Amino acid sequence: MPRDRPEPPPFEPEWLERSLNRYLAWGLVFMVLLLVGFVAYRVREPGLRRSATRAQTTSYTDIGHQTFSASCSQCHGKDASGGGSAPTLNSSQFLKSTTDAQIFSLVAGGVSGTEMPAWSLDYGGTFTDEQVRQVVTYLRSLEPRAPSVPGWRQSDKAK
Amino acid sequence: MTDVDVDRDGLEPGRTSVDHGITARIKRSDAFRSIFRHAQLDTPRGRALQSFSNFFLHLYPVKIPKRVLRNRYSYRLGFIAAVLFGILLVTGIYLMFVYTPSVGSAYGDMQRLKTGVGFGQLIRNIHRWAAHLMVLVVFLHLVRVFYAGAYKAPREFNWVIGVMLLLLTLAFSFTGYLLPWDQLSYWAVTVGTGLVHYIPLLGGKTQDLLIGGPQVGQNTLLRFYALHVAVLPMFLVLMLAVHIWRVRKDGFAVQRTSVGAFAEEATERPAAAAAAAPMAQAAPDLYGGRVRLLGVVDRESITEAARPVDDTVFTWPHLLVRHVVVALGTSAIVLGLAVAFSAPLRGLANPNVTPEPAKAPWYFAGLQELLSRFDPLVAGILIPTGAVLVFLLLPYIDRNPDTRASHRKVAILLFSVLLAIAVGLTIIGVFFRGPGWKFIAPWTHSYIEL
Ligand code: HEC
Ligand code: HEM
Repeated sequence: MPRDRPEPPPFEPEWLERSLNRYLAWGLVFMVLLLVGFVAYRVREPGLRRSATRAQTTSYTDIGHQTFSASCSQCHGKDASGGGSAPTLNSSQFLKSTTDAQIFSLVAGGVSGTEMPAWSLDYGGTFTDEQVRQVVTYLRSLEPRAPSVPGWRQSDKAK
Repeated sequence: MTDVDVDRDGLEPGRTSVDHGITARIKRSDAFRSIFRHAQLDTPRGRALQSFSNFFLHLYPVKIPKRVLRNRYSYRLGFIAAVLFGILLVTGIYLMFVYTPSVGSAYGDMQRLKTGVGFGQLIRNIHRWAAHLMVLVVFLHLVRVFYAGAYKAPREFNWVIGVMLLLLTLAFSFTGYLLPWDQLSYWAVTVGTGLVHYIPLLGGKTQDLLIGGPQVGQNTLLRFYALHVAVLPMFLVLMLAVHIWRVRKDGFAVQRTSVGAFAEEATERPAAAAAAAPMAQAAPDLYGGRVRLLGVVDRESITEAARPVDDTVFTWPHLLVRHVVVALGTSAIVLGLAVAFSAPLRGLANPNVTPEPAKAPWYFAGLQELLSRFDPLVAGILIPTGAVLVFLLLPYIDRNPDTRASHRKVAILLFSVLLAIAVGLTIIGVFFRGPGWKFIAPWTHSYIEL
């Protein structure tokens, strides 16, 4: 590497150079800390999410249960166990064949041409999306213990 | 490439041969030179060129007084406030992607940050803690500017801009506080906007305008959101531009090597010229003792002669590196807080259930403490308005041009007493108040709201 240029004479005092280098070293330390911080969060994120989801499911189930008792049970029966004029939602047949998203749109938009009304504010109902989600969470929580009800679609009258 | 091309800028007259290294080739390429339009040279002229030819570095002067490098000059508080604002802008935009300002979904969006959005909770935490720190740092910046006397001529108006920036920062905090739509936000804003009601004559109308209805609800949320993400950022960015531009124009308020108050003004005094020669000897460490003295002339127009010693250093790299490192350090601290502590989220906002105690965030705790002692008209309207007015007009009230502490004892005493009262009220409000605003011992219970 040809270097026939003489070193330029120093034009700044040595202490200035030294203090600059001290700052650069700190900069390096901070960068490492930033990296460690993000990685630390990323590593913990799945666990944090799981526990947040669990906590949310518990509270949504409670609130959803209350909402269901107040707004749905007159047709779908107490604790969704049927007996009214509408299908038995607490049945393995219904819960196993329907996804959360499907229940959400059934509740939000209702079933047109039947007694089942639309509940979401978006469709003229009274529920916020959050409330619909809570009811869905509640219904989903019934799944593990849902009985088999072959005639779940029929209301009492039809049986 | 021929030798002719080596020294296109004529900056290295001694240079005759070509460097064939890969970086050297890249640096010689036309593309590189079209972006970085100058040679990188570690000479005074090279360093100055870094500033001249860079858009962003025009924020800074090319050279700055050496003392600006010291932490003791400003504790870098103004700069740290600006860094925090930058962090808030970036994280705020991230939050805007997942947040809808509707009473039906706002609270759920906060929960979704926790359960389903990548880095969601972390970004919310960073946004929250950076906001708290910004209020603190901006306030400390004001305190520092006061004690340094840096609000005196020619910086009076920049102080006024500064006070507006503080008010804007508080408005940011207050409007942002409502957005999670939990009990904490709902009641803090209900109590806060309730104060507006006590403004004589205009109170009712102003309150309506602010919350858009008989009580805090969907209209309030939408209004606060619009203020928080559009109106306030626009104003703050504008004011900040003016603020920093004024700092650039007025120069940093540091004591220069010439005697007297800060200032370029001081160097214009011919008397300083007489002091030049001895000063040069008194500071042999500057520039390795090579002090360039253009001449001691007995005429005011030649200001160069009046500056006895060149007390400046290059902004690039010295101030710039320090700023980048301070920005990194600030970010590291905020990130540390965000990883360690989560932003609070209480139950969904419920107009029928008042939480006990309903406490304001810490920066309004002093005000809340005042409210518990005086009539709301006095504590909620007259005192804060009066304080803001006094602060806005401070540089025009205090006309004493001297910046030395020993020559402004009255101002410092008054300010310190006020500061002590404000800090005292805040500490009582934050730590010593519990349910029913009753006195509690902070070591037994704590009801701190963040
Ligand atoms: C006025 C009576 C009534 C009320 C109140 C009512 N439903 Fe229904 N619902 C019905 C009827 C009837 C059907 C059956 C519609 C059909 O024939 O497909 C139904 C169907 C449904 C279905 C679809 C089942 C399926 O797959 O066919 C869901 C899910 C449901 N209701 C949920 C709810 C929830 C949740 C609420 C309370 C928020 C509610 N319903 C309130 C009458 C009611
Ligand atoms: C959003 C809030 C603010 C930001 C981002 C900000 C930023 C800055 C910056 C970067 C500087 C350069 C010097 C330094 O780093 O300290 C500065 C100087 C200054 N600030 Fe602020 N500031 C803010 C609020 C305020 C407030 C509340 C006041 C006082 C009421 C104020 C008054 C001043 C004055 C007078 C100077 C010049 C002082 C000097 O040159 O040393 N600023 N500000």
